[in-house]
Amino acid sequence: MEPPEPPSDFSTLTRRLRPERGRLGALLVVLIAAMTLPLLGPYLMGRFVDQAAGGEPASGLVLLAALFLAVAILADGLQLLVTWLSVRLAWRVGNRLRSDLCQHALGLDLAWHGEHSAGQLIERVDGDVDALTKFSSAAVLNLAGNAVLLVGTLVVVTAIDWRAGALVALVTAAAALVLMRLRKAAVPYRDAEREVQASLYGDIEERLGGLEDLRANGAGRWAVQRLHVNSWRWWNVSRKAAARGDGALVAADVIFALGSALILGLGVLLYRDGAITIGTVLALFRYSQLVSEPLWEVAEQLSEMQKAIAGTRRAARLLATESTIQDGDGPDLPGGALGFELDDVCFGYGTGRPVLDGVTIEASPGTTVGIVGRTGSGKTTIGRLLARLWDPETGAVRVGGVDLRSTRQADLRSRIAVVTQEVEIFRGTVRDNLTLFGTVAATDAELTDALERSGLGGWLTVLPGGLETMLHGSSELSAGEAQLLAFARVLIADPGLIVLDEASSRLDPGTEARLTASTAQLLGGRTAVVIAHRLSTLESVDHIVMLDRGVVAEQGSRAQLEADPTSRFASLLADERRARVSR
Amino acid sequence: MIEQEDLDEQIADDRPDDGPVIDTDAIEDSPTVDRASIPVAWRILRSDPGGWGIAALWWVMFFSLPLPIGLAVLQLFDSAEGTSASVWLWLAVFAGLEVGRWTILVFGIVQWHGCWVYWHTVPRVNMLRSLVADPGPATGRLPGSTGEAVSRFRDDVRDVAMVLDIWLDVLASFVSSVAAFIVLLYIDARAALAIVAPVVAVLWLGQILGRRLREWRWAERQRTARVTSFLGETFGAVTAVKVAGAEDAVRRRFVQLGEDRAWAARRDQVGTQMFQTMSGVTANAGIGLAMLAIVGPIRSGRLGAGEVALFTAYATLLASLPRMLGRAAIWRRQADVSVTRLGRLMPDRTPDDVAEPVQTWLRHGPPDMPQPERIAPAHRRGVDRFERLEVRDLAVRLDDDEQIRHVDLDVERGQLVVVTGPVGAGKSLLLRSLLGLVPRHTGQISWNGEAIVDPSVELVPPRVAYVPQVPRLFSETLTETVLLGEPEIGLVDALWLACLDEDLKELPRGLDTMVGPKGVRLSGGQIQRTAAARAFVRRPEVLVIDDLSSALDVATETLLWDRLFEQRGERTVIAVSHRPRVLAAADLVVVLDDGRVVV
Repeated sequence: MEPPEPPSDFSTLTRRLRPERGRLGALLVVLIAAMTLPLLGPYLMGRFVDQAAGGEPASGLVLLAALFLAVAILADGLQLLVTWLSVRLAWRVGNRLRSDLCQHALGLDLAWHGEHSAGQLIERVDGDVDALTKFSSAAVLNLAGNAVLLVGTLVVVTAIDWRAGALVALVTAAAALVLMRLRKAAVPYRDAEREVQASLYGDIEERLGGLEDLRANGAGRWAVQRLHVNSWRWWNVSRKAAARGDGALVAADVIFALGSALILGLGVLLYRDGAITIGTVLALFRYSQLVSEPLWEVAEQLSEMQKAIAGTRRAARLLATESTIQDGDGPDLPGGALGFELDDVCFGYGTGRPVLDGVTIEASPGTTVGIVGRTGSGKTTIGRLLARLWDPETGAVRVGGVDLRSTRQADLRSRIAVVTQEVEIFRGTVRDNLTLFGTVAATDAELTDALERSGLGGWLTVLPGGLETMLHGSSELSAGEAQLLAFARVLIADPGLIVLDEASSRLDPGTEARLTASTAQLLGGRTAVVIAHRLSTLESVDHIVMLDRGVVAEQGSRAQLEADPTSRFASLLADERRARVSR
Repeated sequence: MIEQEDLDEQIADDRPDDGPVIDTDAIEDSPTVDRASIPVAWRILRSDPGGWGIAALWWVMFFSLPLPIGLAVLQLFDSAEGTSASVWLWLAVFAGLEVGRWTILVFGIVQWHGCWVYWHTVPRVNMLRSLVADPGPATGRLPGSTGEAVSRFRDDVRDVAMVLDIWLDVLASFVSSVAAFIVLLYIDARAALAIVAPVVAVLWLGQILGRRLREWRWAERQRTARVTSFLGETFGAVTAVKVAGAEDAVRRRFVQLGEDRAWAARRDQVGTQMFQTMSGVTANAGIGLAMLAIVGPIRSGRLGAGEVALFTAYATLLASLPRMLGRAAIWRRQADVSVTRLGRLMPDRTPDDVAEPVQTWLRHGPPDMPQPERIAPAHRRGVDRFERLEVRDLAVRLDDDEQIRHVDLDVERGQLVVVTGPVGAGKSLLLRSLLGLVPRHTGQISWNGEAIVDPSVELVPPRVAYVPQVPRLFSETLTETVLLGEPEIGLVDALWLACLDEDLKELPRGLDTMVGPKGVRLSGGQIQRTAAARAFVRRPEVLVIDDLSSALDVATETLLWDRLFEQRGERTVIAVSHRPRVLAAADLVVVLDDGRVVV
C-alpha cells in the first residue's frame, strides 16, 4: 500500500550520511579553506598598487605578485580537492540509497509492480537518487561554500571601512530580495513554457506511435501542421518567459553593477579624504565584484533543492511502501517431491471479478497434474498462487502440507520452479543466467551437466567463452533454446515442485520434440503442474483438471477421463484428433 | 548562450519522466561521420541569417562592453587624484555602460530564444514530414521504440541547436578577446603577453584534457547504461526474479555494477571540474603574471591602480575564450553523433536534408491548412474513380521468413471482399502490405489497370482509407481526431456510419470532447469505431477494414455492417472478418492459412 503522507524531510538521506560523518567533517574543513583563500586576492592586489606608489623596492612587489599567483593556484587546487571528496561521498551515499531502493522495490508484491513500469522504476531507483546526489554533492557544497565566500567578503570589506561594508551588505541584500521576488514572479512563465514543451513532445510521441494510421489515412500534412502550431506556441511562450524571467534576473545584475559604482564613488571620496589608499579603493572595487557570483550560485542551487526534495519524497515513499505478501513464521518446507493442495480458493487480482472461484485441487508428492482450459479460464493464476506471487482472497494454498501464508518466501521459492513461455534471458554470462546471478550455488560440472541433460550440450560447446560467454538479452537465443535454458535452470535449482505454464506453446514441432525428452528429465522425482492448451503436451500426466471460467469443470485421473466417453476431456481429445486428420 | 555546465550537459538530464533510459549501444545507427554536424548547422544558419545575425550582434556587444567599461575605470582611477570633477563623469559613464550592458543582455536573450526555437523547428519539421510523407513502407522508419524516437526529436535536435548557439559564443568571445588584446598591447606590451600566455597554454592543455575527458565521459555513460538497463531488465522480469528467489543475488550484482559506475563517474566529474577550474586559473594566472611584468612601469608611475583594474577585467574576458572553444569542440562532437541519429529517421535522404530550409511560421503561426479539393465520390473521374484492383503474386517476408506467398486478388467496384483464416495466417499483414505499410517482397498491384509503384503514397485517400485492427487515436477533440485535416462535411454521416451517434450523446461535450490520455478515455469499441469514422469521413473509393470484431460486440458490429451495406453498389470494401453474416454477404471470400490462399 502506498502511504498517503510522504515524509518531506531529508531523513532518507541523512540516515545514510551518518556513517560518513568523518569524511563530511574533513570535507567541510577543506571547503572553508578553499572559499576563504580567494579573499586574499584583492587585498594583495591593493597592497601591490600601494607599495608601487610608495616607491618600495621591486623585490617586495615581485613577492606580492608571486604570492597573488600562488594563492590563486592554491585556491583552485583546494577547490578540486573539494570536488574529489564530495563526489566520492555523494556516490557512496547515493549508491547505498540506490541499493536499498532496489532491494525494497524487488520485495514489493506483483500488484504494485503491475502499476509501475520498469521505466518508472529506473527513474525512481536511479533518476531520483541522481537528483539527490547531485544536490548533496554539488549544491549543498556550493551553498555552504558560497555562503562562506559571501560572509567572508562582507567581513573583510567592513574591516577595511565600515561604511563600505554597510554599502556592500545593502546592495547584496537588495539584489537577493529582487532575485527572490522576481524568480517567483517568473515561475508561471516557466511553467507555461514547460507545458507547451510537454504537449509538443507528447504530440510527437503520439504521431510517431500512430505512423501507420497517419500515412494510410493521408493525414501526414495534418500532423506537420500541428507541429507548426506547437512550435509557434513555443516560440511565443519562450520569448515571453525569457523577457519576464531572464529579464527579471538581469535586474539583480544591474543592482550589483550600480553597487560597484557606488563603492567606487565612496572609495574615491574616502581616498580624497585621505582615509584610505588608492590600492584599497582598487581592493574594495574587486570585493564588490566578488559578491555577485556567490549570490547567483546560491539562487541556482535553491532550485536544484526543489528537485532534490521531490526526489527524497519519492524515495521515502517507495521505502515506506509495504508488500502485501509478508513472510510467515511457519516451518520450512519438507525435502523431496512436494505435494500441494488448493483448498476452495477464490481469487481475482483484487478487482472483485473472480478469476478462480472455489477451486479445490489436490496432488500427492511425485504426481503430474495437467490443467486444461480456454484462455482466461484461470490456468496461469494457479501457478502464480503456488509460487505465492499472490495470496488467495479466501481459501488456502498448501505446499508440502504448509499453508503458504506461513512460509518464508525465500524458502518456498528455493523449492518451487515456474517455467513460462516467456523465458527471461538477462544480460550477463551463461553462468549468470543459469544460476540467476548466483542465487543457486553450482559447480561448473553441475552447470554443464544440466545443460547437457536439457539438450543444450551442443549449444554450449560452440559458445566461444563457454559458461562465461556474455548473453545480450533474449535475441541471441532461439525461442527453443531459451526454453531449454529455462529447463536447465530448473535442473540446477532442483526444486520439489515444478509449474510448466504453456512452456512449449510457441515452439515449432521439431523443437517441441527435443523438449519432450528434456521434460521427462525434468519431471522425474518431482511433483509437477503442466498447463497447456494443446492436449498433446499432456500425454504423460497422471491427473487432469479442466478449468472453465475459474471453476473446476471436471477432474480425475487421465486414464479414467479418457475412458469415459461422456467426459469433456474425452470429447476434447476427439476434437483434436479430428482437427489433426483434416489438416 | 544558455546557462549550462559545459560537459555536464552532455548527460542530458531531462530524461522522459517515466520512460526507460535509452541504452545507447542497444540501437544501431550508422557510424558517426566526423564534423557531420557542421554543414547541417551551417545550412540552418543560412536559412535564417537575419535571426542569427541579430542575436550575434547583441552577443558581440554584450561580450565587448567590458572593454569600454575597463577604460572608464582606468580613467576614473587616473582622475581620482586631486580635486578634478571629471572623476564623477567617469563614474557616471561606468554606471551607464554597466546598465547598458545588462539591458543589451535582455534584448539578446529574447532574440536568442526565438532563434533557439527556430533551430529546433527546422529539423523537426523536416523529420516529421519525411516520416509521414516520404515514399516507402511505414514500418522500420523508427529505429527503436517511439520513446526512443522522441528522444531523437528532443535531445538530438537540441544537440544540433547547441552548435549554432556555441558559434554565437565563440564569435562574440573571439571578437572581444582580439579587441581586448589590441587595447592591452597599446597600454603595455609585456603585460599583454603575460595575460595572453596562460590563455594559449590552456588552449593547448584543453586539447589534451578534452580528449581524455571524452573517453572518461564515454566510459561513465557506458557504465550508467549498464546500471539502468540492468534495472530495467530486472524490473521487467520481476516475476521471474521473484519466482527464482533471486532478489538478493540481483541486489548484489546491482551493487557491483554501481561501484564500477561510481568509480568512472568520480573520474569523470573531477575531470570536468578540472576543466572548469582551468578557466579560473587562466584569469588569475594572467593577472599575477601581468603584475610581475609591470613591476618596473608601476614603480616609475607610468602605470597605476587604473591599469591593474583594467588588466583584471580584460584577463577575465580573455580567459573565457579557451572555455568557449573547448565547449564548441565538445558540442560539435556530440552533435556529430546526433546528426547521424537524426539522419536515421530519414533513411532515404542524406543527413543534410535534416536542415532543408522550411517555412516555420514561428512569428504569426501557420496559416490554416489549405483544404484539399475534395470531389464527391459520385463525381470522381479517371484514376480517382475506382473500377478494379488487381494483385498478382504478392509475397511478404519478415526477417527472411516468408509470411505471405503467392497471393492473387481481384476486386471490382462495389464488391465486398472478405479475408478470413486462423490466427497468425497473415490476414492483417496482407492488408498492410497491400497498403504499402509493410514492404512486399514480390507482387504487382494495379489500380484500374495502371501499375501502382508505391502503394504507401498512391493507395491513400481519396482512393483508399484504412481502419487498422489496433487503431491509434490522437489526443485531440473527437472532431479533430476523426477529421485529421479533412473538411468537416460528411462528419455527421461518418459518425453515424461508424455507429458513434449513440455514444456521442453520452460524451460530456459531444464532438468537442477531448479524447485520449488527456481527456475522456474511450472504450476499446469506441476507439475502433472512431477509427472507422476516421476512414469513412475520407469518403474513399475503397475501404480497407481490419478485423472489427476484436473490440466490438456482435450487436454493434452487425449494426455497423448493416449501415455500410445500405449503399452496396457504390462502396467497395476489403475486410478481414470471421463473422458468418459478413462472410455470407461477401462477393468474394479469401481464406488464408499460413500465408497462402486456401480457398
